[in-house]
Amino acid sequence: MNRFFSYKNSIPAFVIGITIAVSGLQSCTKVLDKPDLGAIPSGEVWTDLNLSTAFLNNIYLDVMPNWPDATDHVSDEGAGGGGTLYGQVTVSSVNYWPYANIRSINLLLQQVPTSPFSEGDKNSLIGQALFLRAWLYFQMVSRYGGVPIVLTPQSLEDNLNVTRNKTSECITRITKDLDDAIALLPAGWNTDNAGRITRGAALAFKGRVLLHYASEQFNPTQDPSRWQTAYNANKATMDSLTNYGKALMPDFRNLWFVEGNGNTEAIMVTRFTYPGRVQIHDASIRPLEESQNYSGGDQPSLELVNAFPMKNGLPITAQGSGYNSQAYWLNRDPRFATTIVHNGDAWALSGKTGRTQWTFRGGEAIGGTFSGFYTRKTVFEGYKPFDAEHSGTDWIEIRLAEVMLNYAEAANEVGNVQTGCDMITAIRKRAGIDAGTDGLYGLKSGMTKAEMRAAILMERRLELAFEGKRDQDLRRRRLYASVMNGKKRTGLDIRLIKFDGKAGDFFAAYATGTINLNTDYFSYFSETPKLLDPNNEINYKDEYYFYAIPLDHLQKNPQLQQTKGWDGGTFDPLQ
Amino acid sequence: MVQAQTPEIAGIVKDEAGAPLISATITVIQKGDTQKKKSALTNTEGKFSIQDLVAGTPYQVSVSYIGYKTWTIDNFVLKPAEQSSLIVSLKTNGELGEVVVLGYGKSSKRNLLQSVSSMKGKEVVEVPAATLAQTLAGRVPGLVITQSGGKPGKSSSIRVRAYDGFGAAKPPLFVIDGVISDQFAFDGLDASEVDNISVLKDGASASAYGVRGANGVIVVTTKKGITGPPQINVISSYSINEPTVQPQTLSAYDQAVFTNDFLQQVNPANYLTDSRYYTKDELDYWKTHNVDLLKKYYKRPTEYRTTANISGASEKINYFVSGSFYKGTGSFDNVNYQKYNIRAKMDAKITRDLNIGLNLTTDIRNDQKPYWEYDHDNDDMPDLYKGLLLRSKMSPDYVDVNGKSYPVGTLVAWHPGEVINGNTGYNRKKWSNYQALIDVNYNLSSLVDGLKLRATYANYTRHSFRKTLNLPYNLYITNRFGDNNHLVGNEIDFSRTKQRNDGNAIRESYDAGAFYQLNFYINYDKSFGKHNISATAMYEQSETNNDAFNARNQFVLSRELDQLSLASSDPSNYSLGGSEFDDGRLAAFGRLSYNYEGKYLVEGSFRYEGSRYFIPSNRYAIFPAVSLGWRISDENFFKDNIHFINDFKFRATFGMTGEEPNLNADGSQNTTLQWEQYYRKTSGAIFGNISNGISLGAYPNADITWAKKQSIDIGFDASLFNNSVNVSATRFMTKRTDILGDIGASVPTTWGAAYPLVNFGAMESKGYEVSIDYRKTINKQLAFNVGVNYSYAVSKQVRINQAQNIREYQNQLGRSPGGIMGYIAADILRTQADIDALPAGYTINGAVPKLGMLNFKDIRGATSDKPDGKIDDNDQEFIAKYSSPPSTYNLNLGATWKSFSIDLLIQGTGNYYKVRSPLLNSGQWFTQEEGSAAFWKNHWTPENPNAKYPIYLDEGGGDSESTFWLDNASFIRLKNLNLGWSVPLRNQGKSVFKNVRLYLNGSNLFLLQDHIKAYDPEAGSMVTYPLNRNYTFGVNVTL
Repeated sequence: MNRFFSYKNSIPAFVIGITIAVSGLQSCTKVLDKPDLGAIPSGEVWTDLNLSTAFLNNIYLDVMPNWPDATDHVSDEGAGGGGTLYGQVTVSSVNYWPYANIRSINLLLQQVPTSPFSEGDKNSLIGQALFLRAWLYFQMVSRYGGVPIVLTPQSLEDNLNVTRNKTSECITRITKDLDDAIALLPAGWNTDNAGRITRGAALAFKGRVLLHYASEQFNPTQDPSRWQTAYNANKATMDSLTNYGKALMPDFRNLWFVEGNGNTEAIMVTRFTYPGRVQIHDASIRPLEESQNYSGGDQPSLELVNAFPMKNGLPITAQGSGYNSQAYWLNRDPRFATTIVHNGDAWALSGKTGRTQWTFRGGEAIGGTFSGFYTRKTVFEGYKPFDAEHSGTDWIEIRLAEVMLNYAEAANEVGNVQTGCDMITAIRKRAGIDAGTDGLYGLKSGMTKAEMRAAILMERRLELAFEGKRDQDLRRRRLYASVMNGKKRTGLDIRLIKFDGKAGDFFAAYATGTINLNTDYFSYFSETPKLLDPNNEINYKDEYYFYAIPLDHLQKNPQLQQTKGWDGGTFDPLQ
Repeated sequence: MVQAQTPEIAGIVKDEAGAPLISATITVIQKGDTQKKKSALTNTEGKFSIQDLVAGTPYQVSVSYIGYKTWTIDNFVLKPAEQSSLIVSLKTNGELGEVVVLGYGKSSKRNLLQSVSSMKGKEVVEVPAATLAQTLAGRVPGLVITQSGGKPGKSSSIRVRAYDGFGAAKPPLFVIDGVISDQFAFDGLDASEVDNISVLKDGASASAYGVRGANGVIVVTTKKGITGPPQINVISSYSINEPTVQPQTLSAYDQAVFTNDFLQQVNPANYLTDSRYYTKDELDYWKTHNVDLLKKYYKRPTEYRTTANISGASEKINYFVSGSFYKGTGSFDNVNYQKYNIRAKMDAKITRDLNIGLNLTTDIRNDQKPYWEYDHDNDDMPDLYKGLLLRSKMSPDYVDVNGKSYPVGTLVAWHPGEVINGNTGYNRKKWSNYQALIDVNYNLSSLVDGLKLRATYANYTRHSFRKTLNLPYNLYITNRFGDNNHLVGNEIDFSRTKQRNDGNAIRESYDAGAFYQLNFYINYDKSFGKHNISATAMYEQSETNNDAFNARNQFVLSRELDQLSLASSDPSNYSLGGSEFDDGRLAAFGRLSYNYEGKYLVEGSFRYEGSRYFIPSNRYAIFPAVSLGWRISDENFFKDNIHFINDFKFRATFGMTGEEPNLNADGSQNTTLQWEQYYRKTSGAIFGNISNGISLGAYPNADITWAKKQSIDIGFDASLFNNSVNVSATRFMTKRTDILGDIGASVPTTWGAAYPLVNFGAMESKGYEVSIDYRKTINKQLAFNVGVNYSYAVSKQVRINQAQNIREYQNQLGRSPGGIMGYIAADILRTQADIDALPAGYTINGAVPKLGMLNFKDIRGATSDKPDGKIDDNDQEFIAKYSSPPSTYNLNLGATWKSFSIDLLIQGTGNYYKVRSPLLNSGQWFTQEEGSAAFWKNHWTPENPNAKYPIYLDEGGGDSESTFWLDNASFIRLKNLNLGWSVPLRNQGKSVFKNVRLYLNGSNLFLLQDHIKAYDPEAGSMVTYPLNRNYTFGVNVTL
C-alpha cells in the first residue's frame, strides 16, 4: 500500500461534508425567484382606491402648472424671452409634448370604470383625470394648433403613426372632456383634498379655452359665433362660481398667502408645501443679496412700471393725474406698491425689518437688477434665502379676477360693454383705487367696444402682472406686432450722483434719517433709460402663433405634418 | 503490487501541459552528507525510480531539465519499506512556464489558446495608488483604463477592447479568487496581495462567465506562501503629487476687459454708460488685486503607503498574511482617503488527499471630502472645483476686522473657502468589507487516477456608511467703490449679513450587502501516453441581499454635536428612507481540454446559467466555447528547418458570452424586472399635507433575454532566439446580437409609455492586438527588457433602432457608436466683408450674423440637401468618429545593472475626440461672481480681428458642439518611471535583511504628445478635479 491509498477513510467524511452543504442549499427556483422588492404589482393598483388615487396624484404632480418661469417673459413685462422675441425660433425650439402623462390619464380612464370602487369614487377619479387631459391638450393646441388626439393607452401592436387632428377637433374634444368633468366633479373638497380640481376650476378653464379660441390667434377673421360661445361659457362660470361663494379676496397683496379652502379667490391651485413639494419662484425673483442659487427673474420693465395708473385710476400721462415725476411712486394705483419695488423702497426681506432695497449701480452687493426694479408680488418677505429656495407658496393658476376679466372680454366682444366696465370697476375697487365721483374708478365713461377691449387688456396687464398671463394675451390676440415689434424694452440705469458716487457714504448719510427721497430723490440719483434688449429689436414673427413641431417627433412618425409657415409645413392650424 | 524491501522513490515528470519529459534528471542527496547522492533519468514515458534509500533519513530530492526550473523538495523522509510516488510537473524557465489563471481553472502560458493577458502583482507592487485599477493603466494590452480625476480613491473607468453594446461602455466582470465580484472589491486590493491578474478578452475565455462575460472578465488570484522559510516583505513609500495640467483662467483684469469687449460689441451706442462696463480705475485696480482661490487653497497632495506581509510554506501548510495601509490627501484641505487591508490565507494539507484552504480578507476604506451639495457626491468635485477655478477673482475672499476674519459675500453667493475649510460640514464615507472563503480540495486519485473534487464557499459582507454634515454659514457684505462701483472694499456692513444655507442637516446612510457564492468542482487530469486530458465540471450558486437605510435630521445645535440624536427634536424635521434588494444566480460549467503531445490542442466548454431578470419560462441560456491550437514548432518539418524559433503556436477560438439588461454603466445593477408590468412608488402632488404617488413602470417585455456575443479570435504566439523574444498577435471579430435597447428612437412620440428594453440590436467589432517582448541578460550585471503592445478595436452598429424618417446624414448604421454629432465650424465673422459675403437673410441658429460671431458651414436645408442660407439643426454632421480611443499602445523598458534597476512605461492612445466642456465655451455670464477660461483672452475684437476665439455672444449657438470645440484627445504620456537601487548588504546571507531596495517612482510624469494643452487629455473636463502627477520615494525590504 503506498501513501496515495492510505487515507481512504476520509472520503466518506468529504462526501458527508458535501451532502450537508448541499442539503443546506435552497431549491434552485428559490435562488432565482426573487421578487422586485421595490415594485407594486399591476393588479393591486386598480383594485385599491388608495393606490389608484396615488396614481392620479402622480399625474397631478406632473401636469399641474408650476409657477410661471420668472426669467422667460415673452412679453413687455420685463426682460426675457430672448430667442422668441428676437425672431430666433427654430423648428426645435418649442418642445412641449406631454403624451406620457396623457397615456397615464388614458390608462386610468380605461381601468377605473371596471374597478370595484363606489360610483362616487369612480366619478371623482374620472372627473379629475378628464380635466387634466383637457388641460394638457389645450397647452399643446395653444402652442401648435391641432395635435394627434390619443384617447387610449396604445399597445405596441396598434398603429402608432397617428395624424394631427384639426385644431377644431381638438377644441371639441377638450370642451367635451371638460363638460364631462364638470358633470362628475364636486364643487369643493375637504381640507385634506384641497387643491384637487373642482367643478368650478373645470368651468373656469373651459371659459379660458373658449376665450382663446375666439381670439385672433385661432380666429383671425373674428367669427363672432366663437365669441358668443366664449361668452356663454364664461357667464355660466361666473354664475356658478358666485353661487359656490367664490369672491375676490379683500387684500390684493396677501391673496397669495391664504391657502386652502380659506382662499375664496383661488379657483385652480397647484399646492406647494415645505418640505414635501417646494418651488423656487420666490428665490428666482428676489435680489441675489437675499436669495441663493436663483435670481434675476420678474424684473419689471419701465413700460410696466409706467403702465400703472394713479390712485385715482387715471393714467400717469393723463391731464390732472397728479403724477409726481420727482417721486413717481407716490399716489399710484396701490397695486404699483404691491407689485413693484423701486430704488429706495422699503422691502423687509429675510425678516430684516427696516431694510431698504437699493437698485442703483453699486447699491447692491451682488448681482443687481438689470431693469432697475424688482417684483414684490407673491414674494413672502419673511423667508430667508434658504426658505425662498424652498418656498411653500401655492401657485394660483386661475383666480377669480382672471375669470372676471375673461367674462368681461367675452361680454364686450358680444356687445355687452357694460359687463366689461362692471368687472373692471369691481377689480379696481378691490385694488384700492379711488371710486371717483363718477364711480368709474378712473375709467373713461361711455367707452366704445374698442376702448373697452383696450381697457380690459390693460387691466389684465396690471392685475395679472407676472402671473404668466401677459404672454398669453399678446399671443392669443396677436398683439406682438403692434405692441412690441421693432421696439426695445427699457429699464432704468440709476446712478448715485452725490457723495462722489460712493454707496457707503450715502448709506451712512441715509441712516441718519436726514434724506427724504420723496422730496429730494433726483438730487441724489440720476436715472436714464437703459435698453433691456441692447442687442436686437423685438421681431416676433407671424408663424410663431403656431410653432413648429420639433423634428424629433416628425422623424419618428412620417404621418405627422409640419405646421404651415415652417420648413415644408402643410398643416393648417386654423382649421 | 510487490512490496519493496528498502524504501524507494518512483514517479513521473511532466511538463505543465502534462506531457512527459524524457531524460529529466532526478537527484536524491542525503542531508548532511552530500556525498551520498543517487540520480536517475526519466524514460520515454517520463517515469523514473530510485531505490535502496535509507529509511528515516532526510533527503533532498530535485528534478531538473534543460529549459525548466529545477524542482526541489527538502527533508524528504521515507518510512521503512515505503514506495513513494511523485508526480512532478516542471515549469519552464522563461515566460512560457508561467501559469495563466482562467475562469474556473488555469493553463500554462505555453499551451494557452485564448486571448488572455496576464500580469503579475509584483510588477506594480511599488506603484502607490488608492485603487488597483489605477496601477494597471497602460500596462495590459486590450484593457483601456481612464482615470478622469485625481482625487485619491476615485474609481477609474475600465473597459476591455471596444465596447460593442449600446450606451455607455460597461466595465468587465471582476472575479477575485474565484468569487464573482465587482470593481469596488477589485479596487480595494493592494497590489502586494495580488499574485496574478488575468484579463479574459476573448469569447472563449470569458464564456466561462457566460451571461456576464460579454464585456470581458478580470480574474485576480491572491498570493500564497512559497515553499521555504518564512519571508517578510515590507514596502513603504511616501509620495507628493501635483496636477498634471492646471487649467488656466482669466485674471480679474482680463475678465473685465473681455466683458467690456462684449458690451461694446452688443451695444455699440451705449456701452460706456452700461453699468456693467468696467471703468479705467477699476481695470487698473485689478491689475494688482487679482484673487486666485485655486492658488490660495491649493495644498500639495501626498500619499503614504505601507504594506507588510509574511509568507511561507512547508509540505503541510502554506500561509500568507498581509496588511496594508494607504493614505492619500487632496489638492486642498479636508480631502482624505485611507485604505486598510488585511488578508490571512492558509492552506493546510489535512491528509495526503484532503486540502483545506481558508482565505480571510478585510478591507476598510475611509473617505472624506468637504460637503458641497451641488457636487452630488461626485468624486471629481466638479462644482466645488469649478468654484475654485473661476470664482471671486474680483473680490477678496476674506477680510479682517479687528483681528477676525470674515468670509466676503459681496460678489459671491457662495464661498468655496468656507466649504473647503470644513466650517460648513463634511462628507464622510466608510466601507468595511469582509470575506471568508473556504476552499476544500479532495484528491480522489485513489479511486480514479487524476480525479479531484473541490468545493468552495465564499461569504462576502459589505457595509457602506456615509455621513454628511451641512451647515449654513454667514457671508459678509462689504462696501464697494470704483467709478462703476465694481470694486470691493474691506469695510463690512454687518446689517447686510447674509446667511448662505444649502440645507442645515445631518444625514446618514447605511447599506449592508450580503453575498454568498458556492461552487462545486470535479476536475480530472490524466495523460494516456501522448494523449493529455483535462476536464472540469462546476456548479455555482449565489445569492445577494442588500439593505439600505438612510436618515436625516435638521438643525444641529453646533458643529461639534454632529449626531442625529443631537439635532432637532421635532419629528417634522427628521426624514428617513430605505430599500431592499434580493438577487440570485445559478450556473453550471463544463470544460474539456485535450492535447496530443502538446502539439494539437483542443478545448471546449459551456456555461449554463439562469437569471431572475428574465421570465421564469425563459430564464436559462447556454454559452459554449471552442478553442483550437497547433504547435507547428513541434512538427518535424519545422523543428528540423527553423532553428531560431523555439516555439510557435497557432490558435483560434470561438466563444459565446452575454450581457444582462440590468447592468448600469458603473457595473452596478439596476434591480428592476422588466418582464412584467410594475408600478413604482414615487412622489405625488400635495393635498392637505400628504404627498403620495405611484407611477407606471416601463412597458413590459416578456420576451426579454440576454444580449449574446459571438467572438472569434485568431492568433499566434511565438518564442524566438532562445526564448529571448516573445511575439504574440491576435485578430478578433465579434458580433453582438439581441442587444437590449430602448425602442424610443423609432416609436412615435405620441405613444407615451416608458420604452421597454427590447433585444433588437446588433453590433460588430473588430480589432487586433500585437505584443513583442525582448529580454536579454548581457552578463551577470546587466540585463534589460523591452516590450511593445499595440491594440486596436472598433465597433460598428449593424442593427439599431432609428427614427423612420431620418435624413441620411443622421444615419448611425454602419458607424461606430459614440460618434460625435455637431456643426462644422466655418470661420469667425471677422470683418464686415465676411458678413456681406453671406447670402441675404442668412441666420445662424436663428440669429442675424454679427461681427465676431462664430459661423458654421451651411450644408443642407430642412427639405433639401443643398445649402439653404441658414444654419440650423440640419447642418450637423458627424464631426468625430470616435469618442473613446480605438487604439491604445504602450512601451515598456526595463533594465538592471548591478544593483540598479529602471522600469519605464509609456502609454498612448490614438484617434479619438471630445468636445470641450460647454461650461467654459460660454464665457460664463459676465458677472463679477464667476469668470472663465484663460483661452478667451485671445478673443475677437475689431482691433484684434485675427483672434483665435470669437467674441462671446449669447446667440448664434457659438457654444454648441462643433468642430471649433472639438479636442483631439489622443496622447502619449510617460505613465510610470521606477528607479531602484538594491542596497549592497554586508554579510549577505547572514544579515536579517535579505534584500533592501530603495526606489523612486513617478507617475504621469509628462505628456510626450498632447493636442489639448488647456486641460489634461484624460481629465473629464477642464473644470473638474485635476489628474495628478506623482513622485514617490519608497523602500522595499525583504527579511
